[in-house]
Amino acid sequence: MDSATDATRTRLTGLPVHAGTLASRLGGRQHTVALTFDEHAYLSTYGDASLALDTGEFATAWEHYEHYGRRENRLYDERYVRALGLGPIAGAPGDGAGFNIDTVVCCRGGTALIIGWTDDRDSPLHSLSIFAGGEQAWNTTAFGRIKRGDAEAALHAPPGHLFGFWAVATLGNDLPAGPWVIRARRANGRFGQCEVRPRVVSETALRTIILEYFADTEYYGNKAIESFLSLDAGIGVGVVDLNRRITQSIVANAWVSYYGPARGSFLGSVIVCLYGKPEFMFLQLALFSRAPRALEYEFVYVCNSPELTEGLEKEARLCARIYGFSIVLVCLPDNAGFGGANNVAARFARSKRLLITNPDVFPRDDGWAERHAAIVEDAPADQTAMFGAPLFYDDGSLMHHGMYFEIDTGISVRPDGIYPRPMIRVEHYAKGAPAWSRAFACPRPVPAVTGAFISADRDWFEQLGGFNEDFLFGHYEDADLSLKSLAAGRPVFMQDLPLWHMEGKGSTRRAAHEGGSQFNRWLFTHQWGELIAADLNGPHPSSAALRPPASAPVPAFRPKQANAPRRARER
Amino acid sequence: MPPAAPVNAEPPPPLRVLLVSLFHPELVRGGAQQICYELFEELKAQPDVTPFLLASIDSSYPALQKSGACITGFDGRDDEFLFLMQDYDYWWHKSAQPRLIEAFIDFLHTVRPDVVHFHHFFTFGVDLLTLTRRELPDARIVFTFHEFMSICAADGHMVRRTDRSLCTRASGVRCHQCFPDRSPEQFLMRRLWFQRHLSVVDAFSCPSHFMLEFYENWGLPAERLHHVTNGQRRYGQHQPSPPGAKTRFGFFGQLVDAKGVQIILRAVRILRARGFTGFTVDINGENIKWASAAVREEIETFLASEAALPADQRNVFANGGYAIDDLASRMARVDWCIVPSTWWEIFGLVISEAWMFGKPVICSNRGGPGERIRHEIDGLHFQLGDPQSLADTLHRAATEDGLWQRLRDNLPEPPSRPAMAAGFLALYRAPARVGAPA
Repeated sequence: MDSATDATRTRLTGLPVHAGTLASRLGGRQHTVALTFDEHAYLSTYGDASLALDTGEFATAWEHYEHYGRRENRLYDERYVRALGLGPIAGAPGDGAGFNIDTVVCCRGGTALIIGWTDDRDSPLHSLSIFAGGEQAWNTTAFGRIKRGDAEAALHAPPGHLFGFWAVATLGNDLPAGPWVIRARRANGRFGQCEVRPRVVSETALRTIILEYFADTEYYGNKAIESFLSLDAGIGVGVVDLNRRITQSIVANAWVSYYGPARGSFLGSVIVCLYGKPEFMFLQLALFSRAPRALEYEFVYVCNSPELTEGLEKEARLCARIYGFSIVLVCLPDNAGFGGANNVAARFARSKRLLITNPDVFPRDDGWAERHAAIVEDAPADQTAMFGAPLFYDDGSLMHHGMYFEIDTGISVRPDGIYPRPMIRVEHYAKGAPAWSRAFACPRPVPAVTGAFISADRDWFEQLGGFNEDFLFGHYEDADLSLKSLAAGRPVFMQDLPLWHMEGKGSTRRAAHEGGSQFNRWLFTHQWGELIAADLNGPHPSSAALRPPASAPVPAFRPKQANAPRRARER
Repeated sequence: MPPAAPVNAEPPPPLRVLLVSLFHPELVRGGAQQICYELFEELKAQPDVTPFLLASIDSSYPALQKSGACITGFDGRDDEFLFLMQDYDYWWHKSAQPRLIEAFIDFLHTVRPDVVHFHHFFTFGVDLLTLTRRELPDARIVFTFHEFMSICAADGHMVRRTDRSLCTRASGVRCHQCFPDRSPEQFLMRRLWFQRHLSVVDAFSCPSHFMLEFYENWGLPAERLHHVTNGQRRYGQHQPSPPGAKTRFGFFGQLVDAKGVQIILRAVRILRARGFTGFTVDINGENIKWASAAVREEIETFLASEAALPADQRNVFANGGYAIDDLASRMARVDWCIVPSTWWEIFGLVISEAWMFGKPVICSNRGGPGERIRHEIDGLHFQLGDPQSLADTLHRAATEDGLWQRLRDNLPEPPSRPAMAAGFLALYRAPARVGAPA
């Protein structure tokens, strides 16, 4: 392996691959903890309580707390917080620090977004404590730092310091409705606090707010790397927790209806996740219906846009009559994301073969149905457990012939040091290459295939656990699934089934999706960074699992001009 | 030698032909519906054909909408029906109304046609072609193109919105240039969508030869493309013309951009500027409400200022709209017909009408008029969209001795209704296409 990749691998060491919860993968650190009663901390903080126990006034520290401590909010005292090991070690607690909370938004499920700023140039922000309604309290270090031009202006501060902070903390169900006190604690023990009344929104609305905010945050230096550091700090774990709850709730309330002829069996189930653009249902069904044996496939549409439900129901009725397809329509009450939606759709599929397909994918040839069936029947099983297909742009050039990974390294320069950070980037083989290019062949194993089209053996798909629902909206789930398949012993293949792909035209893109994409890149890097650094980095990965089958004539990869300089350096 | 027919054999049952018409010509005027109705009338006269007409109507005729109905009869006439269009998608050209689709299916099974002949898909939905093939797998489907709406989203005119020039081919990028808010990908999808539905058609017809090449280049199989002329009943005869110079020109058509009346008005200005005023132009037509704002203003401003002139100084006279019964009197006022269309004008019924009344035609040199009018033999061409070229041609027509008579002597007979019907009956009775996809 070349030196550049070796260096990248070193930086990635310590990132476990796809095991356990995300929190454990990120070091097992609890970023947000409840400030509950702890006898040892209580007695060590409050001498009067210790004395009362010695004199026999109270039998236990809890009795003292119940009698005096609760009324006096002793659990929220800075000395107690420090006794719990949550406050800074140095310095003495004291009031007074430039600090403000701009907003707190929370949901019933217990996740809170806190946005504020603090002038911590002399001593950095250490943690935040949240005292909710005088009944419950938490301490969190799940915050990231961001540029705040307004604070800089107000403080007449020169550029360079990140005054802003934002936190995503998972607190708990049934958050108190009363005003909250937020305390910002600095490393020197000084703190400031503000009273705020949180705005309560639905979980999906909170997710949108968080991601839109995330997409718009500004930093000094490389935005991608700085946003990664925010997520590392614990915000990422909070977002994953929130997203999981949302997805589970949405898919549990799926509404399913069936149209067209009921058949005993199908050659395959074409699963399509719709978002924002209903016309792709009739376009796809019209274009896929033209092929011989097409009607031996069913179509399962799953809709992440509840506002489209009624119209899609009409279209499904129309299309079943006009084209003769068996159609399953799975409508969701909100956006469960690409992974969640496709997973729930797969449960309603009635065949052993799943064709995960984007709404803006169409057959390039009229023989798609027979061709797909022939691949599944004739090719070796390990080449069809999961496979992708060549995708073409509207201009006739190749859009996709498998995917590979590149590792970018971002540098974050902070007052206390310089922090490099790897970030995985997913690239498509052949993007923009002419259709007649002979640089790519089928069948051949590839590191990953795009979710725009994946044909999967249903048992294998289920064995892998389907798509990872931790990813937000869409992006990287396809690469994640591909790597799960590779890690389980079956790399994904490219098979010769040419399709059009109107990339990016099949769904509506909103600001929150930009935040979701950044988040997913971060998550994917955590998930697979080590494996990719080991032997999957670059367009020519060294992994033995990706050696082409002996029978397949696979010419050498011919790079696009734009990539040539980078490859030259790697050599 | 084929075996002799048995004596006393039952005659074959009449061919049942369903004509699907964009609008009914008595409700909404237009060339496509007029031709379809002419064909319907002619087929009724054939002893071995039983024709049915299903004509669409939109919300412009609320009095004809019947609550809960999707297809109704029409004015007490036998075998004429109205398709009450609802929820029409003007981009994809499809209905979003399941009830309408169900009604169409029921109608097909009620009529049981051997041939379904679509005169356009507009207002019905292009996907009804596929539905028809699915419901009537043995029926022959014939489709007549009346412009280029399958190819071109700009009203099927194939006139570039960027500079109003004639367009010769559609592509993702070129179409995007006409519709900047739509990406090139959308035009590939549009083409795939239309071609998918047109793929079930057994025979296509175009009234002009040049159209065949356009559709073949676009991707339709050449062997399924046929030329069948538009034909009309004869409702006019050659009219005598006053002796002397032939200085009376006439325009017959809709007052919309594509028909080009504004080119005539610009040519009139040029002639006046040159000091030539010994001519008249009669404008016969209506529907200026469908013209673009700029062209509408140009026409209305010109006509208003013209009307304000003393009578002996006017060259242009606006006579308003007309019905077929009015044609003889309107035609009697002119020596020449001008067909100044600024688009491809795929046939030009007005040319046939001019020939009926013995009027040589001065027309744009492209498209249907350019194909039908033989320059210097039975009419004159001018450069499409060029008022200078038209002004030159008008001046020559009004001043050159013997020109008018020479051209008039060569006028062909307008294509007849029976000739048109014979062309379509040949398509109806052609051998079935094997393996036509659903």
